[in-house]
Amino acid sequence: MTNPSPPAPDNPQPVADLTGAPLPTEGTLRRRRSVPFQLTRFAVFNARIMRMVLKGSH
Amino acid sequence: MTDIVVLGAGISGHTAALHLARLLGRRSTRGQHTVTVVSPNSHWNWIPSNIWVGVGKMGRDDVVFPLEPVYERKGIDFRQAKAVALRPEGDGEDHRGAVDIVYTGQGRVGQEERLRYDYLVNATGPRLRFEATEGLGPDGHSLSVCTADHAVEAARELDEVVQRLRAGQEQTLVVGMGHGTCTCEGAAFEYVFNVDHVLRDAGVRDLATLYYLTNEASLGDFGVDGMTFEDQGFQTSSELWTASLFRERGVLPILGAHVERVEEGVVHYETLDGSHHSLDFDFAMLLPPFGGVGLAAYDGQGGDITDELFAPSGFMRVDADYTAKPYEDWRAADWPETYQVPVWDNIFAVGIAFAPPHPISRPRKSSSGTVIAPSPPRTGMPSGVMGKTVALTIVDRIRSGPSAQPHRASMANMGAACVASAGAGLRTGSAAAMTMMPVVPDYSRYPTGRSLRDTRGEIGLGGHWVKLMLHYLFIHKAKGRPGWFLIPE
Ligand SMILES: Cc1cc2nc3c(=O)[nH]c(=O)nc-3n(C[C@H](O)[C@H](O)[C@H](O)COP(=O)(O)OP(=O)(O)OC[C@H]3O[C@@H](n4cnc5c(N)ncnc54)[C@H](O)[C@@H]3O)c2cc1C
Repeated sequence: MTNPSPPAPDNPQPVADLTGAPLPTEGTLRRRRSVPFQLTRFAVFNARIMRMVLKGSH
Repeated sequence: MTDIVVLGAGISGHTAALHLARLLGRRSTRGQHTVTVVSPNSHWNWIPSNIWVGVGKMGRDDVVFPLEPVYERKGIDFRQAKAVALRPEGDGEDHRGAVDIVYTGQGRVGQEERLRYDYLVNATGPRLRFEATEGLGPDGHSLSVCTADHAVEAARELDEVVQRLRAGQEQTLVVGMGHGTCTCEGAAFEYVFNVDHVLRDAGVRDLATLYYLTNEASLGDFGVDGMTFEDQGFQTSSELWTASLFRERGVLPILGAHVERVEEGVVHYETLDGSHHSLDFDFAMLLPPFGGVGLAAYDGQGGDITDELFAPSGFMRVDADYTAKPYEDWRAADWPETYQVPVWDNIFAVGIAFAPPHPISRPRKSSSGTVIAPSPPRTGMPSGVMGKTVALTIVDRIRSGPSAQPHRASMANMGAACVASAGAGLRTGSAAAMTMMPVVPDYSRYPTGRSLRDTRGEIGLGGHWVKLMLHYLFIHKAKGRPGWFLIPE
């Protein structure tokens, strides 16, 4: 998935250094695409939105 | 008899009008109360899905629908017009408040009318201030996705870029913020990853250089000073989480940037260290800074009181603490709760139309003094909540008298969800989905400013389904279809 697409050397830009940022493992990428796993995340995310709505003061 | 006028039919104004009509009952049983919406556009637009229009995954008609049939059904009067001036004390003829409007449709283009009100809701959203940066915007040299029509144009240009890439030509694409004081970083973030997805889908990503040019001093700031997440027993930052996605997708971030000028194929910008740069591009989608829509205000004698009602930005002053103070002294309590205008407590301003007391992110200047600081976002969920809140206040006052306590909904006490899709498709889509609670950090209640339980970020297909679900749910809600009011704002 990684595709660093380096900036053209004749037009250098002050791009932020991301070498310290963690890259997802194969397992993480698989889980992000796994339908059964994502169905659970979908349910959890919606439950969280509902909890925030109920906690909000309106 | 009570006349309520709502200015603006976007997320906050339309929500307010629908709830007012619902709570006051059908036109036949409502007594003589009227709800009138004034808006210059004949159509409602689910703006968050403009992102998908801007990459050609949805058409214009998927994100807009005509307002008049909905208002007809709900017993709401609709004036396709723009408000130009407020008269909170009325005029020589009538001491009730009034608003001057100029028609933009309904066969009356250019005609003027003075509407009297007992309650006024200003939900006029932003003016897209492309003129703040020379050459910015669809009338200049860059694209936008702020309106459905802008997004259609962006999709067409993106398609041309894909054709050139397919022909083997290298292309440089820039997505981001067109000025140092822009807000709505979430939208640019979402668009850049949708563009990345389109290029990958077309098999041409390796020939494209994709930049994210932002006024945020660090990735993951989003104009809310960043977030702290809890992840597998550790506290981590939205900065690291966001940087991981940029690294994985090979999107090149340029941070702390103020765009000074856009020319044909070149964007000139300054960064926080005071240095100036130029970047050649083949495609640039740069969002404009926002301002108020420029309403004037007059007292009963016709004297100009615009400065009393509006901040210099053009946004309306409400019950916030506008005292100027340093970042260290900003408090959650500075943020408004009732959205009532001081002195005139029958006027409210909601959504983007109210003047925030200060930014949320730490304000910064470049070494040469240029302000490079994200303005505070007022996203869809809080805008809808504010609209409903003032509708409840107005209805209580009609029923129980003007001393009824106002309903409250501070951004320091409500959450927001930001689902930034990173590609479309039921099996191939993805999204970076964030929730934050509250939007404005409150360090007196939470050590990290926000609830760690509800402030989360995750990436995956599930987030894409959430975004798609929100698209259909909110269009159902906005059309006032059965059960619409059960869908939270
Ligand atoms: C590209 C993009 C993507 C976004 N994505 C998301 C997202 O994923 N999630 C999210 O929560 N938020 C998102 N937002 C932010 C969201 O769209 C806004 O928070 C929301 O639209 C604000 O609602 P509002 O009612 O204040 O303003 P608007 O929705 O802009 O409505 C303003 C209304 O006022 C009308 N008006 C203007 N001038 C006048 C006048 N003089 N008189 C009368 N009426 C007037 C306009 O025609 C419009 O009907 C996005 C924004 C953009 C630009």
